[in-house]
Amino acid sequence: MNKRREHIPKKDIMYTLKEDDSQYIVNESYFYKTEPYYTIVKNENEGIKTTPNSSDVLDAYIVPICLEKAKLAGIPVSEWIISNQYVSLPAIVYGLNYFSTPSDYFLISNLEEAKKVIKHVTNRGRYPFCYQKISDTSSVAKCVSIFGKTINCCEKAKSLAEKIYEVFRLPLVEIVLVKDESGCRLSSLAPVKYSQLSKDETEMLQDLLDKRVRRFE
Amino acid sequence: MSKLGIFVNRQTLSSSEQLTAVVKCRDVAESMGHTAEFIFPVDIKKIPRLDALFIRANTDPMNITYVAARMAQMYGIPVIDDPGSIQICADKINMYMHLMKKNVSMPRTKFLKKKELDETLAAQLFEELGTPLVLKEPSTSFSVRVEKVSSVSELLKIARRFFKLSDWIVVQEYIESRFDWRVGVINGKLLYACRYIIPSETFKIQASVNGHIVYCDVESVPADQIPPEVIELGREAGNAIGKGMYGVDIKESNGKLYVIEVNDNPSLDGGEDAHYPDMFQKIISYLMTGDACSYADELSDKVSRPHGFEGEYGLGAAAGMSKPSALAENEVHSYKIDF
Ligand SMILES: Nc1ncnc2c1ncn2[C@@H]1O[C@H](COP(=O)(O)OP(=O)(O)OP(=O)(O)O)[C@@H](O)[C@H]1O
Ligand SMILES: [Mg+2]
Repeated sequence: MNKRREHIPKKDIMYTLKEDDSQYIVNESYFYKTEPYYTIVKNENEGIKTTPNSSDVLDAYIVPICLEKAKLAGIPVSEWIISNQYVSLPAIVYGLNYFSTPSDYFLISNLEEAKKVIKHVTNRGRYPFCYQKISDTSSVAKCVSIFGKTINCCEKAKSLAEKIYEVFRLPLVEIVLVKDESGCRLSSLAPVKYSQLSKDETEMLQDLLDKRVRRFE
Repeated sequence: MSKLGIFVNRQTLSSSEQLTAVVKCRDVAESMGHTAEFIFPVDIKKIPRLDALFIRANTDPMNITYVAARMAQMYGIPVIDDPGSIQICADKINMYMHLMKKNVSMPRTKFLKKKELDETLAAQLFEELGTPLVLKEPSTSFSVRVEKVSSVSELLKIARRFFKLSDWIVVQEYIESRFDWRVGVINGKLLYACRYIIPSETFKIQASVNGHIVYCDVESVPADQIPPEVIELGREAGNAIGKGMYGVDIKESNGKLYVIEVNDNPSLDGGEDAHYPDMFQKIISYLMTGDACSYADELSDKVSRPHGFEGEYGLGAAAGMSKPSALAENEVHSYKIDF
C-alpha cells in the first residue's frame, strides 16, 4: 500500500509541531543564532513552552557542558579535559569556539596527527580545546535519536537515547558514543542531516511529523 | 572563610588595566576574609570546589566563559555572570526581546531575518524607523558590528555581511547624543554610574577611524549627580534581564531616555569606580551572601546561606548536588603541542 506522506523531511526545512500552548521545533541542527534557535528564543519570550528550549540546545552542542550535564543525570560519559596545548594519546578532540561543531571530532593516536588536529581546532593556539582520553581498543559508534527513539541500534544505545532525550529534549540528534571493553559512554551530541537518515529512520520521522505531537508524547 | 574564583584568560591578563582590576578584586576579597584564586580555562574542573565565581573575561555562549558559568550553575555555585545573563546579553536579539517584553524605553527596533530581506522590506524599514538606521549583528561587542546606514543599497550591503554570522539581525532607529550613560547595577541596585564620552570622529563609543582605534573617555559620576530617571531606567533594564551585574548604556535625546543595551560582564577597569570605592566589595559580598548592599549584614547571612542565595544563579534543581571529590585537573598530560 502506498501511504501518502504529508511531511517529507527536506533539507533546511524547519518543522513546528503545535500542541495547545506548546511547540516542538524539529530541525537538522539547533546552532546558536540560526533560524531554529531564534524561533525558540522568540517563543520563550512570548511565553510559549518550546521543546527544545534555548539553553538545552546550547548545552547539547557544547561538549564539556553536554557531558557534565549528562553525568549529573546518571548517563555514563567519556571523561573530558580542557586544554590549551597538552594532550594525552590516544584521544578524541573537539573544538570549543564559533567555528567548531560536535560533528567534527578528531581521533588522534600519534603526535603528528595531534599537532595537525590541535593546530586546526585551536586556530593555532587561539582557543582552548576539549579532549577525551580513549584506549587503544576504543571505537566510535553513532546513532540517531528521533524523539528519544532509535532504529537498529544496540540495546545499550537504545536506552541511552531515551535518557538523553529526557535530559536534553532534542527532537533530532546524533549520539556519538565511545565504546570499549568497559562499555559504552557518551562522547558528544551532534546535529543530523535529514539526508543521512536511513530509510527506516526517515519513515519514523515522517510518521511523527504527520501524526503531530500528540502521538509521541 | 570562603573561596572566590576569578575567571580570567589570556586577553584579560594582556591588558594592564584589566590586570590591575582583577588583582584589586582579589585583594579586596582577601581583605574581606576570603581566599581568592585566578581560574583559567584549563582549571574549569576546579569550579565545583569554589564558593563563588566571578568571570572577568569576554563572555559569549560560544566561548569558554559560558562553560565556566554553566559549570558553576550546575554545581550550585553563585556566579557572575550567570549563564542565563550571558545567553541574553551576548545576543542583541535576545537582549532587546527581554527589554521589549518589560516595556523598557529603547530605540524603536525591528528584527530582520535572512530569508525575508529584500529591497521592498529595506525601503519599508526606512519609512517606519526613519533615516539613518543602525544595523547590529547580534554578537557585536566593542562596536565592531554596529553600522549606520542611510540608503537601501547600503542597508542591503551591510545586512548581507552580518547575515554571514547570524540568521537574524537588529535594525534600529538612530538616536543622536553626545554621550552614553553607563549605569552599573547588581541585583537590581545601583553599583556605579559614569559617562562614556563619544569620540567626535564617530557615533560609537569605540571605533576604528582611519586605521586607528579611538576610545571613549570614561567619567565616573557620583550617585547624587546622576538624574534619578537615569538610575531608575538602568535598574529597570537590569531587572528585565536577571539578578546579576549589568552595565546599562543609556542615551538621552530631546529629553527622552533610551536604553541602548544591557551588558553582562561590564568593564570595571576604565575608572568606573572612581566615585564608588566599595564597588568590588559590593560585588564580592553579593556573590558570597546574596546581598549587594550592606557589607555589615554579610556575617550573619553567611551562617545560614553558605553558598549565597538561591536566586537566579543558584539553579534550583542542581543546587543540592554534592561536590565531586576526585577531579581530574591534575591529570598527567603526555604531549605538549607548540604552535
Ligand atoms: N540606535 C542607536 N542610535 C545611535 N547610536 C547608537 C545606537 N545604537 C548604538 N549606538 C552607538 O554605537 C555604540 C555601540 O552600540 P552597541 O552598544 O549596541 O554595540 P556593542 O558592539 O555592544 O558596542 P560597545 O561594546 O562598544 O557598547 C553605542 O555605544 C552607541 O554610542
Ligand atoms: Mg556594548
